[in-house]
Amino acid sequence: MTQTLNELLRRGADSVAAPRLDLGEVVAEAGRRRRRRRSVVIAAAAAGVSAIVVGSALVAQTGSTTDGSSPADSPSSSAGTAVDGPVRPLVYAEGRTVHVGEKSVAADKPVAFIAPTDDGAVYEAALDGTLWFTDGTTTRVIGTSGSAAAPTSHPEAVSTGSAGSLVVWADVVHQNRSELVVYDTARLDEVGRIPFPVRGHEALVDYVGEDEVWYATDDGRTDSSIYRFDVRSGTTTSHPRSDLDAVLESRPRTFAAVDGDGRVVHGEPSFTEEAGRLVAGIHTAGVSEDAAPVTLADGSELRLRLPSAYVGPWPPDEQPALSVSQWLDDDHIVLWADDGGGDLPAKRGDFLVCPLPDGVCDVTVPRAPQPYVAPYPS
Amino acid sequence: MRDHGDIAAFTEFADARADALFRTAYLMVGDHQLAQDLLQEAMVKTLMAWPRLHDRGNLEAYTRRVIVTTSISWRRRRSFHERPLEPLPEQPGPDPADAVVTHDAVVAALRTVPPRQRAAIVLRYYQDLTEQQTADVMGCSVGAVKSQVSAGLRRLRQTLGPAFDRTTTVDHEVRS
Repeated sequence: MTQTLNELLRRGADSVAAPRLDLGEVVAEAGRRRRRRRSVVIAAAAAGVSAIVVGSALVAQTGSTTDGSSPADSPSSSAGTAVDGPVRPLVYAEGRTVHVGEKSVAADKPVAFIAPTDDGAVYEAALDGTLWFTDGTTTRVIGTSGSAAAPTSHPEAVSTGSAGSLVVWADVVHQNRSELVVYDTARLDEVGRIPFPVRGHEALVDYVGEDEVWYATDDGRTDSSIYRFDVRSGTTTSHPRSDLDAVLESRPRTFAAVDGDGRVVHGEPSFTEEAGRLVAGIHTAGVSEDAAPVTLADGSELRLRLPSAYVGPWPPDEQPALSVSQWLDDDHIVLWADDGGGDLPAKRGDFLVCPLPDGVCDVTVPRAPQPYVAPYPS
Repeated sequence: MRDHGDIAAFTEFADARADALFRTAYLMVGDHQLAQDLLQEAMVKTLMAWPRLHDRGNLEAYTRRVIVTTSISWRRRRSFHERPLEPLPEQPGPDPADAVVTHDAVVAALRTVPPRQRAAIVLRYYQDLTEQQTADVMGCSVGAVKSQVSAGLRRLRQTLGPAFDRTTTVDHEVRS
């Protein structure tokens, strides 16, 4: 007697009794996860961030305002109402002008590095390690980075999260002694200093959350331990790397793929284009783009599309130079399409806002004669 | 959820399709309890995505895709989710020449197949999806589906022995 594989599988599947699905628990769990996501939105709204409208309004550039003046009052921590639209302002720099959503301010010198928080933008104008913060209205110095290396290395020296208000950078406090500085752009204050666990070695920031910083050292340890700094308690604890994976898995603003060894890896996707559709891949060792669809935290696949008739700034016949620049909220990311060339931080390109997980991207800030400095995720 | 109408519509969908989706989940993980967890997780993700699922005629396909991608993710995150599997059933009969492959043996053997290969087999031979449809669900190329199916069937043959080829017809198989 022969039978088809389909019949065998069908009988195998039918042989087990389907359990009764606990729909009440499904609805409750979905509600809990939605509240966790929305709490980020509420916090950002309470922090006085202007909700921005995805679309051409973001292109509007107001005139420069005060430079070097004291910042606005610290934001209230009381909860407001949930906001449905994107809550983080789209930030980038254009020469000396720092754009924060619809607002803009003037920096002392051409901006070389910029990174977003829920409250505005952290940037570096002169490559002297001085770090500035602006909410789009005022600016202030928030600290000094120990790194004053080549411009292209600065995105690795200063880290912000995809949500929240924390900024982390390394500061040299004494000879051969460095600390990670943790600054909160909502409180406009330093909220922690983390001594490097091993003197003389660098700390590599792996993840900046809303109230935590995960980092590792290059001390040659082979047990893959990493450290978690809890901002509220000011304590540091050692963890296996799998603990960070679990944290990333639970965060809505995370991209994941599966590597060749079957492990889930998190990272920023890059893209190739197939007839207007963007094929995403996370390129780490062992990850084959063909075999590793990029998924979001809810399990949906990242399948974005370019606007019809869009012509990117990259050279003809080359794959698009597209990268994720920043998250606006859980459902919108900003892609940076640049001309693909040069090591300088400023490049010509477009910012496209894309609805997740599978929407059509919209050119929100089109390229201009002046190159832009775009944020890159830490 | 903000809209009670959404919850009512979701409940109706879940009541109608949970059994069929559970069977897919079971084949994907080969364990009753794990399949129940997987279905529950897929339903949570479906409910969270509900407001943007405009094509209500395609809900089952969406949830099935979540089952596949989540199960692959789970299986690969061994330290968190994978449970010890029940032992494989004993190999058929003392005389392999007379052995017949049973559905229990196939389901058990499927557990030895790597997750993406298993997904490709389940989608192609249980769900009867085309190669293109399977590629869409798995987010890969048709060529990748072909190679995953081929490798998965090879693994099944290794596990089940000669009885598999003697007693089982594999429709639309392309031998590599």
